[in-house]
Amino acid sequence: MFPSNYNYSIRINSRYTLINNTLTGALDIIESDIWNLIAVKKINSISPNVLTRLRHRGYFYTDPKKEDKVLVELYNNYIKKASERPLRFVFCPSYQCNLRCIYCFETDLPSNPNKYMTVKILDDSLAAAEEIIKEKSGKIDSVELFGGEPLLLKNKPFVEKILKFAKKKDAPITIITNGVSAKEFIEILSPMRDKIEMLQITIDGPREIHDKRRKYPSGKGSFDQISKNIDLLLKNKIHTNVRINIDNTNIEYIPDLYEYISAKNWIQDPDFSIRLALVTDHTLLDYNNIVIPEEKLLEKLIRVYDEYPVLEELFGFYLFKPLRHILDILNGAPNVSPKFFNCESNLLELNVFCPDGYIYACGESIGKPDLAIGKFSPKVEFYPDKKTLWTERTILNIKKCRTCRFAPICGGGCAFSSILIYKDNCRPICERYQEVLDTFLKLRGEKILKKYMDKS
Amino acid sequence: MKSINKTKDLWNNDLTLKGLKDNFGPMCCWYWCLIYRIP
Repeated sequence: MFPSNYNYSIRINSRYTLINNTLTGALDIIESDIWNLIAVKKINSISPNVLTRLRHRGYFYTDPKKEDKVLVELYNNYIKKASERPLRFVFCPSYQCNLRCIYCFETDLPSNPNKYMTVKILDDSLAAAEEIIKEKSGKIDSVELFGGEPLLLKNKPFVEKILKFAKKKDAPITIITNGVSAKEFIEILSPMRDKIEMLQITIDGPREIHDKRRKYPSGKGSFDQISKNIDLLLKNKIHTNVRINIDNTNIEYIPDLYEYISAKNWIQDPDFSIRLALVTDHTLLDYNNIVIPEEKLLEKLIRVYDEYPVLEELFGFYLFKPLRHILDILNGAPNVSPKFFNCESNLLELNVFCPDGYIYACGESIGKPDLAIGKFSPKVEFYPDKKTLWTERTILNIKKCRTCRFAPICGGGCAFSSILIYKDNCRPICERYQEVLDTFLKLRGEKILKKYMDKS
Repeated sequence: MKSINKTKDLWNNDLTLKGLKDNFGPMCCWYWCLIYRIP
């Protein structure tokens, strides 16, 4: 019997080991003694029933070539299903922003000569969306507002027009905003409240922490204004999600922010949600005192959770990509999607319309016309070679990924990083899957065992 | 050995992926993460 390329295992204690096959999605708890026999190649000492079960679940194959055939067949079927996926349109009414957050990845955008969509550019973007919908005979999955900052006062008539388009198409709306001017948009957002799936605003900690990170060009902090605007949004029953961007410098202040939010009674509001997100840097592979290795941040977060269990219940661990497949299955999903690529940019699922008239595949690549997949103004035209830049990046095409045990849950890493760092769209961008999984399961593995093994 | 998910739901036994939920996303980093630049 030949072991799968995609087996991950971690010994939780002397009695039990957790095993996972990232290609088939199998997740099992096995006696450590048995798994050890496999590790030292004493397979013949294991009962035939257990061996059969391991084989049926994809941990072993009798034919060493069969697994690659399974990989290719799954990939081909995945692409067939992906071609039927609904469309997503992202509108960036401007490249401008009214804050100067210290970690912004779009610091070059305000100096872009195309600062705001013109009336013609906006009309062309809506016409382009109609044309794409007609061509693909698809239903729109979402209309999203992004930027720069979409909710700038100057953008208001444009935002209104985009929201009306979304309503006409019966598309759910998402708005990614810093929230500082949200009050000025309440009158156009309120009538749309049933269509607004999420209006996302970032708060990075209690006032003194947030204001050091997310400030106006004058240096003044934005916390108080955002807080007042969230009160107003919730009063108008507009679903508001607060995202807390965490890194090494603010992670310990999450309990203080939770205290503030609880005192505001936001947590109990049915239109309020909150989650953590990681600060990452796609331009480098190194770490620094702000962006530390992911497993180190996970350790720090677990220490916070150990002191404040209510935060673990509220936030959980889904912000860590390496853990999502396991968390989904532990939460009852029968199985999770295998990842043949990193994100929707590789499926060209996002059509990001920008003030420069270009269509982009990825929110991070906006403002860089050499990465655009097409133009929508003056008319729609796509660039096949630029589309291929995103679509040919799969774990089957990236040599190192094809037999990497984490590839079906990783997807090969960020395409934008590969292009920027290596000037090559098919280089692996490895994140810390092994380290994050090991850390999580060492610190929370016993809890998982208790849930499953006590039942049997 | 205890299986947390069922063998019939595994992808080697469902090669057509008919059990795959249609909603794949959002997966992208600019939704889940904040992409940072060292100043």
